[in-house]
Parts: sequence; structure tokens; C-alpha cells
Amino acid sequence: MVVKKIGASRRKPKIAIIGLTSCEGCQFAMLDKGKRFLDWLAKCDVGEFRLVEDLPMKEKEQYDFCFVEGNPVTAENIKLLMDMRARCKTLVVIGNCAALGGVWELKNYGNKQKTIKEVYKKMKVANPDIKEVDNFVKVDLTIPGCPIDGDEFMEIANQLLKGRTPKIPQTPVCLECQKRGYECLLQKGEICLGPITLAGCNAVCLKSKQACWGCRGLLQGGQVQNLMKHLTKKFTKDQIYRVMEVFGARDSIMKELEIEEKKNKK
Amino acid sequence: MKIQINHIGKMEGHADFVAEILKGDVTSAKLMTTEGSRLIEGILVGRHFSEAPVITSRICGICPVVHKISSIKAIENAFKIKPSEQTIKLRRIMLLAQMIHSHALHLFFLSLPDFYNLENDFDFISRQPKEAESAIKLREWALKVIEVIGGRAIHPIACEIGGFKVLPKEEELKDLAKQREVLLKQALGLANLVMKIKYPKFSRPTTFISMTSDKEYPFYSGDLKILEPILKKKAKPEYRIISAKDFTKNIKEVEEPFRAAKSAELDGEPFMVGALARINNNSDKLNKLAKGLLRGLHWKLPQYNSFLNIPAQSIELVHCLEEICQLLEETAKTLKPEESWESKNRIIGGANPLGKETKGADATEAPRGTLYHEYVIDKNGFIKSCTIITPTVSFLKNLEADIMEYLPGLMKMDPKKRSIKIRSLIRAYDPCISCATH
Repeated sequence: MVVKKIGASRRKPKIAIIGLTSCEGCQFAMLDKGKRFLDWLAKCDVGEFRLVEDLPMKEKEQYDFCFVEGNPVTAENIKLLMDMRARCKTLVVIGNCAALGGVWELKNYGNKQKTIKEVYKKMKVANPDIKEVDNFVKVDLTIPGCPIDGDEFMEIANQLLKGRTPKIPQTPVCLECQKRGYECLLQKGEICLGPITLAGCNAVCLKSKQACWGCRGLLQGGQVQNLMKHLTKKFTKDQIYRVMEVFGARDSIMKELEIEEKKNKK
Repeated sequence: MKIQINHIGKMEGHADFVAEILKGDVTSAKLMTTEGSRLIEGILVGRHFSEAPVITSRICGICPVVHKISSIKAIENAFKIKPSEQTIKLRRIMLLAQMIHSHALHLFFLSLPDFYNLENDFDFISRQPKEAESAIKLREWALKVIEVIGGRAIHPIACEIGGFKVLPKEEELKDLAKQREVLLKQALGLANLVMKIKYPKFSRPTTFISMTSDKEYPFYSGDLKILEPILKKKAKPEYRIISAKDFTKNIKEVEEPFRAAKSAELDGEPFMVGALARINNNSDKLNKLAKGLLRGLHWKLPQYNSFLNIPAQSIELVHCLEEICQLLEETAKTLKPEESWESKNRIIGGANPLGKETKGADATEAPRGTLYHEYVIDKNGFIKSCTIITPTVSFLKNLEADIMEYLPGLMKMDPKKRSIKIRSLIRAYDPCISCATH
């Protein structure tokens, strides 16, 4: 295998891949594409990517694309995010933590002072409300999921290099699930958010008979009210909210529900 | 004098390093974690126990399998659920696969370039294209194994309490096992490169902790073996065995003001976990080819040079491949449909099968060392408290003690070279700061 030395040609787009607070699983979802990913990297001038290099941070470098994984939890995270936004033309957020807050957003729904006391007895550590990246900076493109789908990333990443602005089609996970003939867990009587969640994951959870918990976020035009009507026949609101909370989707789903309810009242 | 290294790359998570030197004496060496605390143990309180394996696997993107399985095992212990033999075999295959892809990544991409004075993996790939391809192929295969059994390589889906939501097909397991010879050749080639490197001479007697078992080189279950350091020449190694459930009775976590990650101590002292600890404790249980590799090194065990964690990982890489291919074949032959406890009972928030408060814990060997999960679950099935001790938390203090011992010999060195030496020792441990700052 031959991989060209980075920085060999000036025409290559300059990219940075940075991680804030996260499990780094989305960076691994990229790396796990193996040769395909390395070939893509070879087409770029890679300025920052801590997983494969240990060179000093290039603090003045300007970028064509900056890929941001993780959630800004610490002051340093926020500073780095703002700084990278100022130094890049296109900012792409990667994964559920950046897009929806991540699993850690669960603490927003509880008492965060109590939560931190469960972990630290003396230590003072940053304990902000968890907010999505687009609360801090303008986001040009979002690749959602916990973790992201590596193939979807490669497709989008290749299009970006060709100068296109890719869009993820607004279809529900339900459609991908039905196309593949997986068992409908909603009909079976489980809490499944497939009808209102953005597709692109190939309904990978449903393949393993795991109901959709909305890690890719709310589908534009998702019929939240309809789904709630169906689910509340069997489950309490608390049970349904709990499922929506795990991947940080509850807040955006509730917002949409309010809008739908207002419309219907009129 | 102060030595500071910011943003250490090529490891999981974010950390800086700072050492203080006063009149030639190293007075402190600290690995400062620089990522936010996600408070996983805190957010789990009040959540239903069935969510714990889903949430805790998100602690780490490189070792989600072992977090998920440790969480499941601890909860099974809490409810006295006994998974089937088939379930255990499938879990063991997943753990071995995770060990293979994690070790292959660490060996080739994160650690080895240090010994060629390369700070960029692309330069190393160009230099060692054959081994690069082996590392990539081994990783791809191991990730495929996890995907076939777990439904997805990162944050697997199918494994749950008391079994699997769906089972793999016999053909899929057989096909994976067929590649045995090619994979072993690639692993041995990679191990060869690892063995050829001259690692720095270094030794600091310390305590090694890993799981242990009479039957096998342990990853999935067993007791804990605590190997005490030999401080006098010709003294015999002494060890004690404790139950995995008594982990927190012996190992204590401490908070330190300079980092969000905690660190751990055994009787107030640092200790080492991971590949080198496992080999020091269980070398007689290695498979044939792996044992041959170890013999070729002529090591006197226990080894106290932490740099040798790297060759230890390469021995494990070969051991795991020997083991996993056999297990894949065995499991394919006997695969039968069965429903998991969780699916059968259709557990939904608010249920506790025992109807009373219960506690469960267990340890598992993760790529970087022993991982411990513990849960107290209330009578309604909600988590009352949770403790997770990750391998990097366990070895942080040992790593710092090593650097304090290693640094005085580097003082006359050019600062850039010295910085690479320090980083190479840090990376030899294969630290996962994301896991540590959960």
C-alpha cells in the first residue's frame, strides 16, 4: 500500500479532525474504514488529527474543512471549537455528542448537582448543562448517529472534496427498516422512535431487534403527535420520555410536539 | 525546571504532561487529563438497569464491547442470572476480537512509530507497508467478527442481559474462522516487527494485577491475581488471589485536584494492569504459538520494564487469534436458537425481577487491563449507585511513578528527543483517557 506523504501538494484541501469530550467512537468509525479512509486522507492536507499524528498544534493554520466530534464540556473545549470555527470555511459536526449532546445530556433532565456528587466527593470539575455544538458556533453540515455510520461518512467526505454540499435525505428509519424486512418492534409493542427519526443508519439497530432510540435525531416533518398518540395507549409519558432522553433527542422532539399541538389547536 | 508536553497525540482521549524538576530531582510527574467529565456513574443513578449496558458502552469508542459485557455480567450477578454456555462463548469471541483490533491499532499506529522517531503515521505506513497492511487487515477482520455477533462493530447492539437479541448464522461464523491461516501469518509478521525493536532499558519493580484462571488465559471471567513486587534479589514472587467481586475492597480510587480522571491505589501504592500484567501472571496459559513467541524473547518473569507492554500485546495478539478461530469453529458447530433472559422477560423501565434491592459486580479483562463494573439496583429496577473502574484509572499512578524513575536519565538529552522518550513511555501503556474520564 502506498500512502502519499501529507502536505505533498498545495492543491489538496486542508482538513482538521478534532475531538472535544466524547468516547471518540466516531473517529474510530472513520478509521475503521481502513484503506478507504486512508486513501481519502491522502487526498487531503491533514493539519490536525491527533489519532494518527503527534505533531505540535498548528495554531494559525486555515482550513477548508474542520470535522468536529464530541461535545464542548470544558472551557478548553469551547475555546478550541470557537477557534476552529474561525479558522475553517466548512464546519462539519460528527456524531450524536456534537449533534444532540450525547448520552451525557441525560444529566440535563435530572439534578446536575446531585449527579456530580455521585462521582466526585471533593473535586471541582466543569459541570455545565450539556448543549449541542450549534449553540456555540454555526454548523454547516451534520453527520448524526451514535456512532456515525462509516459508509455514510465516506460518501459525504468524498462529495465534500468534489466541492458538493451533500444533504442527508429526510426519510425515517422506519422506511429503511421496512425495506429490509425487519420485524416491526412498534407493532410488537415496544417504544420505537423509528417513525420520527432521520434515516441513514440502514436501521442497524432494528436488524438486531433493538428498537430505535433516536440517536440520529428528529426527522424534519416527523409526525411526533401521531407517534405519541400510539405509544401512550400502552406506555406512560414518563416511560416514553426516558427512551427519548438516552441519546439527547427528547428536547428537540418536545419542541416539535409543541409546534404540532399549537398548529392543530388553530 | 518544568517539563511540559501539551496535547499528547496518538492515544485515546486528551491529556497533557507536566513534570517539576528541582536541582536535578524529579519532584512530580503528572498526566493531566484535559477532557470534560461525562459523569457516567452519576447519570446512571435513577436510570433503569436495562439501560446500563447501552449507556456504559458509550464510555469508550475503542473498547465498547468490554464495557457492555462487564455491565451485563455485573447485572446478571445482581439478579443471579446464569447465561447459557453458548452466550458465554459468543461473548468471549467478541472480547477476543476487540482485543485483536485494539492491540493491532495500538501496536502499529500508536506505539511503534515512536521507536523509529516518527511523529506521523503516514511516514510509518510508507516505511512499513507490509505490516501496515497486516494491521489494517487484522483490524478489519476483528471488527467484522464483532459486527456479525454484536450487530455493529462500535457500540454493539445484539448482546443483552442473559443472552443475545439475535444470533449470528452458522455460515457467518464458519466463514470468519476460515481465514485463520492468513490472519495468523499477518499477526506473526506484525509481532516480528514488534520483537525486533530495541526497547529502552528500564526497570521499576511494581505490583501487577490481572484476572487469573486455572483453565485458560483469562479475559472473560476468573479471580484477581495480585503479584507483589520482588524487591530482593533471588526472592521468589509472592502473590494472592482475591474474588473479582472484592475488587473495590482492595483497590481504592482517589481524586486529585489536577485532573478530572480519578486514579487507583492498592494499599496506597500504584500498580500495573494490562498486557504485561496478564503475561506476568498467566504466561503458562498462553496458546502454543504465543508461548513460542514469548520463549523466543528469553524473558525472566516477572518483567518490570513497562515498555515491554508493547511486545506483550503482540504476544496476546497471536494468542487471541489462536483462541478465537477455535472458538468460532466450535460455536458454529453447536449453534442453536435460544432466547435471551431480557427478551423473554421483555423488561421495560420499572421492573425488578427480584422485587428487592440487589447488588452485583464483576471484572473483565479489557485490552488495557482489568475493568470493573458494580451496580446497586433498587426494588423497582432503578440504579441506586454505580462504580466503574477502568484500566487507565488503575495504571495512571504507576505510569507517573515510572516517569519519575525514567526522567533523571533523560536530563542531558536534547528537549525534543526527551519529549519523544516520555511520550513513548506514556503510549507504551496504551492509555485511554476517554475511559479514565468517564
